[in-house]
Amino acid sequence: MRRLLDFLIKHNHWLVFVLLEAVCMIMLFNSNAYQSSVVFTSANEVTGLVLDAGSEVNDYLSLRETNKVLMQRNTRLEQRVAYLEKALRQRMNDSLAYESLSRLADSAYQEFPAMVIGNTLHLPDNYITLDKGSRSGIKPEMGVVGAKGVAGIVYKVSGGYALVISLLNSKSNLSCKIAGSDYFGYLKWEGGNPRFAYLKDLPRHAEFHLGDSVVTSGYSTVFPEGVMVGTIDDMADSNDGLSYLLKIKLATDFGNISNVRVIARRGLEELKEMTVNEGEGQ
Amino acid sequence: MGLVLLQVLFLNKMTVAGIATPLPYIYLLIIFNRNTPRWVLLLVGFILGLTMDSYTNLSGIHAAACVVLAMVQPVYMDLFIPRELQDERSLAPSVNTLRWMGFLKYVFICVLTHHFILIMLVFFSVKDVMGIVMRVVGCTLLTMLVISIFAMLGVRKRN
Repeated sequence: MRRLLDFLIKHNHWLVFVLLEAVCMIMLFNSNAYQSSVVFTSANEVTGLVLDAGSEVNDYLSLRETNKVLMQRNTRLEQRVAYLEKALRQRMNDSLAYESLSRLADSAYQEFPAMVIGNTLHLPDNYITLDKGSRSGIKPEMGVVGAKGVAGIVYKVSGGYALVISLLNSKSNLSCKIAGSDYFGYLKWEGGNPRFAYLKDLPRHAEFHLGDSVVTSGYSTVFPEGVMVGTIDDMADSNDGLSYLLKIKLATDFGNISNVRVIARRGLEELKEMTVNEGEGQ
Repeated sequence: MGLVLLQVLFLNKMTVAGIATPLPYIYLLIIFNRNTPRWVLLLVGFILGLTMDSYTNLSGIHAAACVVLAMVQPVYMDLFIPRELQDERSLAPSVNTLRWMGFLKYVFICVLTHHFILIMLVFFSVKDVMGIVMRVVGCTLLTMLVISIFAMLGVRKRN
């Protein structure tokens, strides 16, 4: 016993080494658990604070570029408003349709503006850190949209920060369709270039052209239908030959993303509660 | 502390050709004095790694690589200590103690060990051996470059 203790004391660093490596491995292999804590992610309060401070400097330096993007977006929205107003005026005489249209704008989804304070591009699993958290009403599984298109889905939140699974993450799996049609597939990022992802499982009889827009399908409760995702850049057959595999140029430039909106479907809780109750009722 | 901030706020965002990022934060572990108890060095490595993990959302990967580096650091250091300093109890690796050639070789082997483990754990797949090798080489070169600059500044300060 004595000798064993002596041995352990003399070689204590081996013990510490094995112990610490074991802790690392447990962390590594348990990190996929959805409920695991937010503590060792970039959305914890301390890390968030540091990233926040750093991003303020960065934001200041990239003001010019941000300004340009906002201007473009503004112009696009103004054109759209003009177009919609015209459409609305044409339907004025049908008061019922007018009512329902004017209420459409703020019906089902609620938006929170947020800033990106942390972001990676070149790992197999990339995450975005936002400067708003549960105190601002953000909850896991809300959608995140950048100035040009979908950015990701909220994964974990702390009081003041949120961790978002970027589209550039092997866990990301987004239901999409080709704009103007009902053919849908799901979007996966396969690593490598952060500008491109792949749309899989699109049926063979789908009709599309290179350059067509790909938008969210609205089949999940996370995103409303028709949020821009990207454009078709190239096409190929999938390995099994039963569906198309489309290369999508993502609308969001993840290397340059700062202002985002977190969108939440109103009444999502009630919807979830309802499904749970139904399940119990059977 | 300043080095970690520099790493998480600026260097983590720097990528060359989409594959190589300098990770000079391990300089903190590399220059630990040889009279430090080994368990202290291991614990420092673990905490340093966890800090990096929390900024990159790599749960435990940086920590695992840093703990290995903290384990082998004293062994590597012994390899490059000049004969006349071999019996010195208190000795921190630097250009002054190991000479330029010795110091650079020592840093290289430390950086390579750390980066190899880190990148293997991040990109674990048999498919892309070339990609992993490229990343290890790229990251190692960049980190070496940044650490050499640190070392040069250190030497100039002393003179």
